[in-house]
Amino acid sequence: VGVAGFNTLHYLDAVLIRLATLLILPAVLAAGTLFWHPRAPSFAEKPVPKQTYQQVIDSGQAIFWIDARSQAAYDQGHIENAVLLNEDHWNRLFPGFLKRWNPDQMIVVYCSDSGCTRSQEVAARLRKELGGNLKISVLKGGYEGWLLR
Amino acid sequence: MAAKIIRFGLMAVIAGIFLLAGVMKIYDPQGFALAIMEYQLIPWWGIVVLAVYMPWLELLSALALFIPGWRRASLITLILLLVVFSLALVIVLLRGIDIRCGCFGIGFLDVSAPVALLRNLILLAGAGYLLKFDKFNR
Repeated sequence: VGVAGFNTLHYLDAVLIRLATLLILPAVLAAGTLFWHPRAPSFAEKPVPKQTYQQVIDSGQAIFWIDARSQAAYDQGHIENAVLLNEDHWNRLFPGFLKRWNPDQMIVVYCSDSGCTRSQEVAARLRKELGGNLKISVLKGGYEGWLLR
Repeated sequence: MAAKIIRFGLMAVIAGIFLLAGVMKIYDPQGFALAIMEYQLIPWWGIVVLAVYMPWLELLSALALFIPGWRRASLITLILLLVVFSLALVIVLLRGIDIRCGCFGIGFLDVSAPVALLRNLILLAGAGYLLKFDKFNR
């Protein structure tokens, strides 16, 4: 191997070491994210599955709709018979939900559109408060998707 | 000289996109996990790992693009990421799953899967071009 060959090998080694650094360093930061980030996903808590409106209807089950948006958005329009329940006013709204909900019904939570996460947050909290065997899902596409159904 | 300016511009665009994507997903890893879940490709534990690992990889690779000597390693990483993202989008499109990209986390700069795939292919071509003319980076 001549000088040029040695230089090439040396260069490739340097690239490989940097490549390995770029792949390993994020793993360390990822571990930190898991431990300290307030919005880190948890291995133990799998999100509630999503269903399209058609899948909800095709399930043939009695549905209990929960609107996880704000009071103002709910007042402007909501799915018929939907009950307002959100994280902002949980303590005030939760008793009203409990009064109306029948455990035989499947709960379907929705928020504004496919980009919102409020429905997942409400669904996760309901599952925590009412037990893991709860029949619950999140509406794919949210209220916007329901309007376009 | 003109070619150098073009290369720098291209590099800035690629780095900017990955920096933004990384920062948005680091800010809301739970939202990113939900976006990955929509793809229905891997189990939940794998989604959690990817949701906290990939944003840092994007961010650090984008930053490394500006460090002389690190550019080639950075470009290789970014190309690998783009290939993985594109493959995931192709699989989802072939399976007929209707999703938004989730490339910047959930609900931010969201585009449909075909548009995201097209964007990825353009970025892939750009990154490939930079890698080919990497001599100035050594």
